[in-house]
Amino acid sequence: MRAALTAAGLAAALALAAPASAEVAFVTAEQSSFSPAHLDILVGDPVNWRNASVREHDIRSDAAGFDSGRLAPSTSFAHVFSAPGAYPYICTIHAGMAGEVAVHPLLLDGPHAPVARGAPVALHVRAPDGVGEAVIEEDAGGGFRRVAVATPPAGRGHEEHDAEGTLQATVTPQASASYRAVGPAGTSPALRIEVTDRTNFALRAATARRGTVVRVRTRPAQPGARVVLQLRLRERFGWWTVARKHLDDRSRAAFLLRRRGSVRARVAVVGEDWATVLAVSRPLRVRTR
Amino acid sequence: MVLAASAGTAEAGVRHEWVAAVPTTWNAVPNGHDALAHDGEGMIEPARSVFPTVVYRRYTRDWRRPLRNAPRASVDHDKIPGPLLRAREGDRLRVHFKNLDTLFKRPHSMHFHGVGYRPGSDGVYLPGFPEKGGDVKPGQTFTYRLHAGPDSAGVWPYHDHSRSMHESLNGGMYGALSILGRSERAPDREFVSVFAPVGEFQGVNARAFVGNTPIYRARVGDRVQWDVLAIGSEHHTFHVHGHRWRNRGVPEDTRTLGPAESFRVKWREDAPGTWLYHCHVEEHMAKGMIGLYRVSKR
Repeated sequence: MRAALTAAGLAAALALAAPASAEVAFVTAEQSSFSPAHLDILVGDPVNWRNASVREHDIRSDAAGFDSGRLAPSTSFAHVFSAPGAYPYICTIHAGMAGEVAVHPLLLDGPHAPVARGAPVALHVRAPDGVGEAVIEEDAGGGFRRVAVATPPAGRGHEEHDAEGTLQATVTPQASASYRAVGPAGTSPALRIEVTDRTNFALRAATARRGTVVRVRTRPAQPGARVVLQLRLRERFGWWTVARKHLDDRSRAAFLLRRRGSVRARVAVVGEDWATVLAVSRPLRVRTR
Repeated sequence: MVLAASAGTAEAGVRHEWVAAVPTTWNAVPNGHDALAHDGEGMIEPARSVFPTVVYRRYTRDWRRPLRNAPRASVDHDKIPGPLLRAREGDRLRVHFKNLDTLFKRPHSMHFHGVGYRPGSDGVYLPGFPEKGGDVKPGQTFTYRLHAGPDSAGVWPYHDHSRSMHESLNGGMYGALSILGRSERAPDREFVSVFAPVGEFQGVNARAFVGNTPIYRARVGDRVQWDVLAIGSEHHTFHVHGHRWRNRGVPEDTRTLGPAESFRVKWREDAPGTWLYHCHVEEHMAKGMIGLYRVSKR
C-alpha cells in the first residue's frame, strides 16, 4: 500500500486488509517527531500516520517492509501489521525522526491509577478473532503465575464476542504486581498495577536550628516505602517535590525544610519511579521565621 | 585540600574537570501538568514523563564524590545539562571523563565545540580511525586535552559523539562550556538554557512546561548573561518577555539558533517582575519549551 490516502480511501483500504475487530491506531507526524513515538497494537490492527506538520515527511520501515513515499502536509498513510514483532520506522527526510510499532498477539488493559489492596479489579484483553480465552498471569516479585482466565463478557453471546474481540477477567491484587495475558499465540505486554492501602499520615512540623523539621509517620506501617515532601508553590504551578526519603523500620521519616515564610506542605508515598503518587497526606501549613 | 575537593580546579592556567556518565531516572514534568493547557487537558502521567537515562555528572578529583553540575542560580535543577564548564581565554582544560553507564552499558564520549584540540581529544567515533576518546567503554576513563584560544570566548555545547550519540542526546547527555575573554568580567548571574526535545515534549534543560523548566532569578542592577544552546534536529527562537538586547548593535528580543548553535545574551537588569522566556516556534512552546524569569527589586 504505497499511497497517500484520503479519509474515504483509507477506510476502504482498511476494510479490505484488517480484521473486523481491528482498531485503528493513530500516529501524528509533527515537525520533527512522531507522536506517540511508541505504539503497542494488536496483530491485525492498522496504524494510520497523519502528517500534521507544514513540511513533507515519509514513513519507512525496513522491518515491516513498507515505504509511504513522500507525504504532503495533511495527508495520511496506513499500514496493517499482520505479524507480531517490533517494527522500528523512520522519516528518511529528517534525521533522528523515528518511531516504533510493537505488534502483540494479545493486549491487556486495566487501571492506570493505584488500586486499593484486596479490591476486585477488572482487566480487559483484546484478542484476535477466534481467540475465546486468555490466561491472566501475575508477577508480584516471584515470577509469573496463573491467577485468572479472561473470557467473553457475561451476558454476551459468542458471536458478539467475536465481533468485539474483547475478553474480561477480574483479579484481586494483594500487592503491587505486573500482569500479562497469555494465549495460544503468545503473551501481551505487561501491565503494572500499583496497590495501596488507605494510609493515615501523622504529620507535624517543628522549628529546628537550621530550619523547620517536618516529621511523618504512616499507618499501617510501610517500612522502606518511598516518600517525598512536597510544597505548594505558585511559581511551580502545583505541588513540587523538594526532598525524597525512605520510611525507616518504624515507618517514619524526617525532612529538613530550609525556607522562610509560610507554605503548605504535604507528604506523599510514591512508587518506584518517585513520581506516581500512591497516597498523600493532608496539607500542613508550615510557618518559618 | 580545598582545591582538590572543588570542581574546575586551576593550576597555572590549567583547569581540571572531573566528569562521569552516570545512570539516573529523569522526570521531564515533575508537577504533572501543562499549566497553560485548557482545564483538564494538561494532565501528564508519570508514565509519559519519567524515563531512565544516562547523564553527565560533575565529580571531585578522581571521581570520588559527585557534585552539583552547576550553581543553583544557573540551573535550578541538577544532572541535565551536564556540568557547566567555565574557563578563560588562554586556559588549557583537562576534562577527565569516566564512563559509569551501568544502565545501557553503552560506550560514551565528550566532544567539545569552541575550543582547540588534537584529533585524539575530538571525542568522535569514526570507524577505521579509532580514537580511544570517541569510544570510552563502560568502566574506562579518558582525559580530553583542550585549549581555549583567542577565538574561544563565548558559550559552546559539548555532547556525546560516540556510537551512542543519538540515544545519548535524546537522553540529555549534553552541557555548556562558558569561556570568558582574556579581560572580560564575569556576569553577576549566568543562566544556562539548553533548548532540546525531551521524550514527547520540547524542553529547556530537559524539563517541559512552566514551573518545571528552570526558574531563573535576578535582581534589578544585576549584569545577567544567558547561555543559550540548541541540541537536536530543530531550530528554536529564544525570546524573553519585557527585555531587549543588542546583536551586533541591533536591538532584538528574539534570536534564532539551530542544532549545536549557541550564543550569549547579556544585559543589565532593569525590569522587575515575573516574565516568560520561551521558544517562539509555537509547536515547541505548546509542547513545553517555556519558563519563568523572575526579577526582584533591589
